[in-house]
Amino acid sequence: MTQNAGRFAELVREHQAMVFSIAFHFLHDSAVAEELSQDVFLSLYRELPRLESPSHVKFWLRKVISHRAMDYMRTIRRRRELALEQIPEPIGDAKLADPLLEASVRKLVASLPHQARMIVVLRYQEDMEPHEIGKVVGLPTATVKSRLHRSLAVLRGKAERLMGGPIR
Amino acid sequence: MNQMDEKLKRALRRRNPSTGFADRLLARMAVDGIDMTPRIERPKWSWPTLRWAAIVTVIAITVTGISYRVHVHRSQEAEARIAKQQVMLALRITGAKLRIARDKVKAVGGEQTTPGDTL
Repeated sequence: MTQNAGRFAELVREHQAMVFSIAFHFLHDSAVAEELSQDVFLSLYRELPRLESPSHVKFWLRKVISHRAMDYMRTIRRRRELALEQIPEPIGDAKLADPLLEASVRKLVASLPHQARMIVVLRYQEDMEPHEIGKVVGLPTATVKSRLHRSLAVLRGKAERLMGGPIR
Repeated sequence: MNQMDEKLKRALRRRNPSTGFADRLLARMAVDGIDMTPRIERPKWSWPTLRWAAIVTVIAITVTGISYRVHVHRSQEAEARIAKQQVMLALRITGAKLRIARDKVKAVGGEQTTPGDTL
């Protein structure tokens, strides 16, 4: 392995969890998430000379994987884009003692429309502020805030109906 | 942070891809024939660029310096010409005044030597 390859492998290891998780939490398919992540890292290798700093690399990776994941979803049209009000209840979680177990929460998130889902993933996985999310997904900060607020209200409502009690 | 936020953070925490992700990526790059040898990036300010910039700068400074010297020399010449003209004018005026004074002295001297005035 050349020195260049070694350095690039280090960079991949540093960011692979971030890139893979954004794709995985958005797509709910680990094989596709890995495929898309590899594509993004291949693009990163070509783009590296133009990226000026580690923070620029991180921003670039978040932006590209977010767009690739959303493009993929649009292309395959695996799920119909639904209005927030039309989101179906997750199936089979009602009998769980705690319906807000991780898998249940992920299913609830997965039921959000594409853009809203990506905003929630970036907010809670990456702990990003609305203005940062806006730069990544290409939306004004106010729009990100309103979609986040609306998505949380919908998620809370669905979760409360599943649990049969209020969630703060 | 409220209960919903905590649940979301926990559910959406980062997770690693399957083991060997980076190695599989490098292997794929090798198969795709992507060159992993270090790329020599020519910096924006490479030596040829710097050399030309230095040459242009030296020429510009030299031309400016020569132009300035010529300008100063011409200004000094013009000033010297004006000064010379002023000196010549002053000398002419002085000469004229001296001639007037000499004529007056002569006139006064003539009056003093008349015979009627002597004892």
